[in-house]
Amino acid sequence: MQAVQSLAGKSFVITGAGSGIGHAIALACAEAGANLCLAGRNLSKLEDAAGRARADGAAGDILVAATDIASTESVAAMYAAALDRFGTLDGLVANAGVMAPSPPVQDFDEAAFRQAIDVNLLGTARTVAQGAKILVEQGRGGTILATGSSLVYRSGPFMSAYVTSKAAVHGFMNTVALDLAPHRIRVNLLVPGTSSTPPLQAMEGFLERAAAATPLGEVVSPDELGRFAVFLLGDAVPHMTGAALVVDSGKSIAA
Amino acid sequence: MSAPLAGKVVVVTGAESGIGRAIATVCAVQGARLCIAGIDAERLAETEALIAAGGEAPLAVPTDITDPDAIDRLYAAIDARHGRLDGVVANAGIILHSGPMHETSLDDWDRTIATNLRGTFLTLRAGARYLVEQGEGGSLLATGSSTAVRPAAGGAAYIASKGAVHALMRAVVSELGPHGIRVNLIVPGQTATPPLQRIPGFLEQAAAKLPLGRVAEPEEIARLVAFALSDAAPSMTGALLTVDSGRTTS
Ligand SMILES: NC(=O)c1ccc[n+]([C@@H]2O[C@H](COP(=O)([O-])OP(=O)(O)OC[C@H]3O[C@@H](n4cnc5c(N)ncnc54)[C@H](OP(=O)(O)O)[C@@H]3O)[C@@H](O)[C@H]2O)c1
Repeated sequence: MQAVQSLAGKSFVITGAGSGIGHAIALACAEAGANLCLAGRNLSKLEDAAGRARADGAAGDILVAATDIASTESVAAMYAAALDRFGTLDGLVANAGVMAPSPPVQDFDEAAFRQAIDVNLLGTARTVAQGAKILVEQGRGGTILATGSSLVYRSGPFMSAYVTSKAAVHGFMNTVALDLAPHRIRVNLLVPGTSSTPPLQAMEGFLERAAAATPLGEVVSPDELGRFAVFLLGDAVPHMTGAALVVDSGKSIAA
Repeated sequence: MSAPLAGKVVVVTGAESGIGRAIATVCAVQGARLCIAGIDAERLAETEALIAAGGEAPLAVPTDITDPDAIDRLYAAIDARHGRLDGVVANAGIILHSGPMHETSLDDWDRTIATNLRGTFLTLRAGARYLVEQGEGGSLLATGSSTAVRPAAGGAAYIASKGAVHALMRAVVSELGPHGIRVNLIVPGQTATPPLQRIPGFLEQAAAKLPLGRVAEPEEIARLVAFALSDAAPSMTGALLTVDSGRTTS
């Protein structure tokens, strides 16, 4: 894989970095030379990711931080660890999330719904808010990415909790882009379509069916989302803010 | 620096100035073999010299994109020089100061639609034909406008023409997907280019109203276009590549 641009000397926090899309973003950022704090609940997955990045020749410093984004204190500890190690922060990727099917709405499961909101919406908001506070106080701009979902544009059945939580993330990020623009902090949303990651690989036949339903006939690879994230985190496009960057094989626009 | 576009044959229309010139030069620096098209032969030659100074001379073809025969000649020239095509950036367009709709002359309307919509269609149609026949996929881009998403007063003809380009691009995503051809739209906000630089005070006033407080530079849009033309994101199609300092969000 070819690094599109360098992130050398920059430091980022990435949540959900132990698997799937976050893992791919972490490897791509490591390849681009960034210092990284990899966060998620499962420490051994994070250590595997860090080990892989180092084995691939990462030039930056790679730190892992066991973190539950459902907890304000845990997110605070994650940023404290990153600042302790790197001294400053250049941006963050609020990628962690849970994707689980919901029962049909007439069988509403309130506890599960609350959990999706708490992790996907509040967890993203906590991660972005605490990171933004650091970036604003540093006073030298920065860049924030979160992972949305193309299901927000083109939904599917039995996903009510997930899609609701992600739709709120889209609204949150739009608004936050405006809150932070005066501080020259850019806020953008990565909007993946169906991508081959562990939760979907675990569903028999799902990825094949999803691929067939896209104009390009293929699902999205986490690697390409990683490359895109590197591009967005760098300085190449300093006036992109409030953008929703859709990488979905054409699904959300298809007939 | 790496060359993400190494060996790719890319055609850029409207390459004589502004965003198109920036796209052409940035793509050339990233290794693309450029064909530049534009209606103004003199300024096109400037872009040609600019690119040639840094590496391989581009193929420069003065082209009126509203003329189907000229479009045919453009692609024939590319075919003769390179024998292949990888990407099309249908960027040429005009901004006439045609005023609000009730004051817009039929002549301004017709000229705007002819260049921005008919010309973009002809450019993309011929490019898509070439790519489909070649059978190796490819990447089509067109330059839309943030005003098509969030209109401003006083530019009805321009905004209608760009809105139609947005719809055209959406319409062909599913048609070209099965051929492995990706279709994405560049959505610039106010950008520091000659037509806007010529209006006294316009860019300063525009900047003051933007969340980031500054208008975009053509080069940053160009870097994003180069990314979209590369193999970096093979599943990105139907996307809006918005670089507008936050305009459409606010
Ligand atoms: N795959 C797709 O098709 C797709 C499409 C659109 C959007 N997305 C979004 O992309 C993001 C990544 O998903 P993925 O597909 O890569 O799935 P994944 O492999 O399951 O990744 C999700 C990551 O989030 C972490 N996580 C979950 N709950 C957490 C919590 N409470 N605190 C901290 N970390 C937590 C998980 O690690 P731990 O379990 O170790 O905490 C895991 O590494 C999610 O936001 C997802 O909604 C995915």
